[in-house]
Amino acid sequence: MESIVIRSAVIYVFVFLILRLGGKRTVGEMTTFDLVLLLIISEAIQQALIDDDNSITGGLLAIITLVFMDIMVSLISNRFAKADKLLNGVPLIILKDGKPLLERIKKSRLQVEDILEAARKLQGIESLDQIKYAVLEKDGTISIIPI
Amino acid sequence: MVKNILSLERDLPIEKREWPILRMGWVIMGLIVIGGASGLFGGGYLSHRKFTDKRTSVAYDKVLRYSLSSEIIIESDKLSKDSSLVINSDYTKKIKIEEISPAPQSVKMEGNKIKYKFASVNSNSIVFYIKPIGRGKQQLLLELNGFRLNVDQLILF
Repeated sequence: MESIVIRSAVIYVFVFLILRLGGKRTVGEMTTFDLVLLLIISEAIQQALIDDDNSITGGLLAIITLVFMDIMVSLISNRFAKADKLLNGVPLIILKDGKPLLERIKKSRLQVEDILEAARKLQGIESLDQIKYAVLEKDGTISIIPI
Repeated sequence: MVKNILSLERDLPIEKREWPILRMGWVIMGLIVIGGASGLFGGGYLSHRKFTDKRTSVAYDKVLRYSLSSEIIIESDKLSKDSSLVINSDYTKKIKIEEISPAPQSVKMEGNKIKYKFASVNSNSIVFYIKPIGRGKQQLLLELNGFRLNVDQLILF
């Protein structure tokens, strides 16, 4: 049987790709269903990760492999700007001078109401024309810069 | 004491002391990952051992992990006639023999030994499919038609 380290590495890459394909919204605005989906995914992955290896050594190796790969990805992203953009995506301006950029909002699977919600929560702003910029950040959160 | 954002700078030496420790940790993690991938902790190339003499070879894992299946492969041209394979019975205290291929014709306890009799063997190999059920060091004493071998194995937790 193949090593638990190899299995962990393959699963890391797979999960990374899936979450990346899921887009920013998946991570940033998690609904209850998204949370349940995440739990189901982790349960499905656990079986593939451990296989018949129920040893503590195997579990520790899986954890170390996953954390180590994550550190490596962060180091690569930090050192190479292009890799960072590819791996983590880029911030996106979705509103400029009070005017929502509708195509960008639609492609990001957001709604104008999401910008208003972020504006209310973060800055106590009540209308779009009080916002200079709204930015969909790499982590899926919306930053608001008031006028 | 004045509390403002600049008071955070006072803790900077603590953070700076942490940086090399973190990097050392990453290197250790990298070495563990490489060791794990190559079988240092069982289930890979570095844990495999093969003993070979003129007519018999025994392949096994030197390092095993609790509950992780493994194999002992015995190859010998002595298997062409009726063969008896004997192992020490206390081996089965920490190792569960899940299957033997080909299946032995009979299994007998003789004192502190287990004797497997193979009536006729078409192939030249016997495979023990094993699963560790204990932890720690374990010795396998193997006898096959006059051939004797002591195998030391380590079962990790």
